[in-house]
Amino acid sequence: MKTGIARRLGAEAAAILLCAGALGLAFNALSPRGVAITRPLALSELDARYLTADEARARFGAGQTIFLDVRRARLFAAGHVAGALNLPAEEFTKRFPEFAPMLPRETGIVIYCDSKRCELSRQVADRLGQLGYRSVKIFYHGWEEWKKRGWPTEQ
Amino acid sequence: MADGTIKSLASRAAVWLLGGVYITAGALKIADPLAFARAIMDYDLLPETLVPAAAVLLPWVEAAAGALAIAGRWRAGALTLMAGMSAIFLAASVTALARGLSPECGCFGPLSGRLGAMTLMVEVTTLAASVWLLRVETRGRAG
Repeated sequence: MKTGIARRLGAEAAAILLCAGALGLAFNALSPRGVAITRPLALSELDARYLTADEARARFGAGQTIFLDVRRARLFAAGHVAGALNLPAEEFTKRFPEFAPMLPRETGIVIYCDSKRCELSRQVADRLGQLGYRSVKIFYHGWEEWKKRGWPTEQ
Repeated sequence: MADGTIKSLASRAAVWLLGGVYITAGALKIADPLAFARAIMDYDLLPETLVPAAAVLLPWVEAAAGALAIAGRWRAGALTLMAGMSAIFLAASVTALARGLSPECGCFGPLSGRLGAMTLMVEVTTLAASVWLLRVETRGRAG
């Protein structure tokens, strides 16, 4: 009896999965807000502020962009993007006033932390956005990728 | 009032509530699959290539399971899926919190708050309710 019920539960659940899945795929194909399901999301779809490693490097090369490292001071001291400033995310509120003169609102800022999709970068980007900064970008792949590529660093 | 009648009324109300929660959660996410895909990414659990498909399919399964449970059609199957989804959501939330992440929970599309104690409470409640209702439903069939 129990096997029969389990089989029936499985069959019903599978039927719902199939029907709902078919509906979902059809709706997604027809909807103007549908997403491509055969590839990962592009960085710009994830967050318009994200920069790829090459885009971050291009901004570094062009100058006039401040790189803001939001990792802890200990990690920053061990190595960072050449010329970057260190404003640890957890000390943002306390230390922003001391950094404000070095971060003019009209200057492009690229924020990064340790590795890809690091939430600290987004937190700091959100805070800067609230303070009126309009040219804030986030280097999605972060320090690990920068170091791996052998781009300019300092300790 | 007889115990059986109270239990029957309680289970009917619970089906409507649980189904309503799942329909709402699904519908809000169906409206903006990209936002839901971003929320899934923030949990950092699924391979990136699977995220868009999950963002498209999962809300439809939620809404369909909720609607079918209320309609009384394939109810046991719908409750099985709801129990499974609740367990998966709970596990995802617990592991995210354990890894120090605090993403938007993504549970109710634009109405979602940050993942936290309230999210866990909702997930535990939906899991308990769906398991209880599934037992009620299957006992009814067995009997």
